Amino acid sequence: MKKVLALLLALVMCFGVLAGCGEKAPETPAEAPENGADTEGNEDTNALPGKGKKIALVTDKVGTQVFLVMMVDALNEAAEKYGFEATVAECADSAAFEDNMRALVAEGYDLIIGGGWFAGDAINKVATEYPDASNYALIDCEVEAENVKCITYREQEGAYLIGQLAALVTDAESHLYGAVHCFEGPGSWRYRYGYMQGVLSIDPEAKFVFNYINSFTDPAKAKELSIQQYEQGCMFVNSAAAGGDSGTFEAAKEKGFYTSGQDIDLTNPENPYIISCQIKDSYNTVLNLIDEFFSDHWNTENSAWGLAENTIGAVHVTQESKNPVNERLSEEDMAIVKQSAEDIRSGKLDLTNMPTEEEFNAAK
Amino acid sequence: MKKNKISENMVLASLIRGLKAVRQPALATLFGLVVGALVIVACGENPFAVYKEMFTKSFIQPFYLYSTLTRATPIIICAMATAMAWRAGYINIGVEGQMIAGSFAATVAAIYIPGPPILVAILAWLIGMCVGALYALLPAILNWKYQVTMVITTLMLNYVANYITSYFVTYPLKDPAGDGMALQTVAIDKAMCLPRLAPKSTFNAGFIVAVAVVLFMIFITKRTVFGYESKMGGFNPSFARYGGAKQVKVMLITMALSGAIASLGGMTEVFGLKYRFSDGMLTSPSYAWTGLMAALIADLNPLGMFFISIFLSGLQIGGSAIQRSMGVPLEISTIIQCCITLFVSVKLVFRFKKRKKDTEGENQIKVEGKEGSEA
Repeated sequence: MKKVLALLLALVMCFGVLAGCGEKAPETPAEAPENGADTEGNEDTNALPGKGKKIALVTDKVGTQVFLVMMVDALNEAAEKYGFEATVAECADSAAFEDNMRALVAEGYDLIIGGGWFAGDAINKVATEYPDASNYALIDCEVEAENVKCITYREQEGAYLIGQLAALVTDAESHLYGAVHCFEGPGSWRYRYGYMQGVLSIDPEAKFVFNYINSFTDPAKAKELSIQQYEQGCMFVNSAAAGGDSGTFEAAKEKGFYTSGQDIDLTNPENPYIISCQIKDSYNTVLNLIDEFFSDHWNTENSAWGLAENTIGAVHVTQESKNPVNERLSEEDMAIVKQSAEDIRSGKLDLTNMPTEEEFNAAK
Repeated sequence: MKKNKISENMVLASLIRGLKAVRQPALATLFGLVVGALVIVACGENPFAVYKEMFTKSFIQPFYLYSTLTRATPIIICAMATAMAWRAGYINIGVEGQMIAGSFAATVAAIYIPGPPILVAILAWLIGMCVGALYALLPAILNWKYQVTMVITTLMLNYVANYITSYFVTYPLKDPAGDGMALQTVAIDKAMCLPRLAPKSTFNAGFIVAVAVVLFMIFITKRTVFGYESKMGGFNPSFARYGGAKQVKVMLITMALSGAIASLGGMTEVFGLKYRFSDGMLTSPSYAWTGLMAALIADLNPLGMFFISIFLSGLQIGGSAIQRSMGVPLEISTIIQCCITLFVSVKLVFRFKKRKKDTEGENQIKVEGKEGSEA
């Protein structure tokens, strides 16, 4: 009797699992046919340079992480353009990165792209061990291995634009500017430096408050810190807190201070206090990277991409948004920022060679 | 009680018992695969093709088999560490913490102690095992002196170990070279690393350590007074006390051994694979929890745990292989793995109910603990 009951329960659970999966199902096939189409190949694709080549992107679990979703989209688009076989290897845990990369090398991939800093250590090791087995590239991180092409970003350029917007939107009413970041370190320094320079270019009397939430996913702490900064007198809080951004946005709406987000366009008609977002375009990054791979000037020299490469930018400045510009930013204000973007792009305003945090503090 | 009586010279009896022991996990595995197949069908793929790819790329082709065995190494050792304590009735779910504490201490020792690499390596392994043992003794002593439930203390100490080492690799011991995001120590001396056993793969001597631990475990359980006493203590504490076993001593030694074995698991990973200690390297692949699953599925039988660990690790390796080549979600392997554990735990519930009917109260703690920690 009890066994029957257990069996029944197990069956019910199986159906539960199935029902849960049934809704998701359309997601997966959406990717699958694309792969299929690539491998089948028609007359046209035979002429494509990528025919018969295999390119893999090794990354964290993609899920809804927009930075990663854009990379996957770009990879698939490039696969259509060049006709290579595209593979995305999602890694569930830190050990899986190395396992996957070794397997990809063994399976004879022509280019292995590490998508994000979490792939850094693994690609460094594998590339050192098998220098000739494949080509390697790494996005948003730098490693020692010379045969890995590391793409980093000049985040300071986007942060500079955000800084200018911050000073303009508040009309420098308060000379105190806030920012909430994930971790204190050289990564965050690029943002902080750019942001400070941007604000100072408009409001030379500016002072800054920086706080760190020490996590990539903590909206509650981001909210708390941004409210504290507001209470200290900040009228603008730059949020570069990854998953924590939503906390800052919520605080901004409640308290009525201005803020900006990170990586993608997070502006929202419901929340006019988000005046812009700094863009870090992994989509263009992957497209550029693969273009370079199929061009004749492919090399493994590390490069830092910024505004000029269309991989860094700011919403309303370097790219349009479907949401309106905040009313406190006049046409003239926007013209100033757009001019700066132009200057950065042309090299007139050089943010490439920036001091390290130590040098900056020593100079002060 | 009856069927667990130790009867060493009855080969036939043990063979039948062995078959009986295998039946349940085998059935559970089958059910797990069936549920997995249903999910694969729901995702619009052919389950036979997916399973074929999955098992070819985890057990059959040598390259993948080596990957499977490499990943299985810490899992096997963790399963042994879990079983060492559980068979004595001490629900140690802090294997993860002990493994982190031990292997971190060993890494630090290997990096900062000067001297000839071989000697330093041996010293580092000894230090690591001692630290792991001490870390496991902490909950044991709390339990002995203050009757604090070991399930809770061991579980909580996982986080303590994880966050303390996280602090060390983020600030004082962080490798200054490399990317700022990478929270890790500097690499250990090349001469201290475990030798690789196969070309083009990371399969290393750590696996031999794992096999040695299995043999040690079999030896302890079958051939020593301590093994007998600790097992009796697990079955029936009052009987063991009546029989003259020194319970506190047995508890302390059991926990220390469990911790020492756990730390070996982490050290094979550090010295055989990563060559450094990085933040979350032992928690994110959940070696300890997979090991615990293996221990449960195999009902704490050392040989059974050895093979189940390899099987579970193969599921994970095969799971990422099908994700790469067929675009099937990675979660398939997790679903199968969890279903197997689920179906095995159905057995535990039955047994618990039956026993409760037979002998009220006996063995209750042990079975309850098993169920509790699965949740």
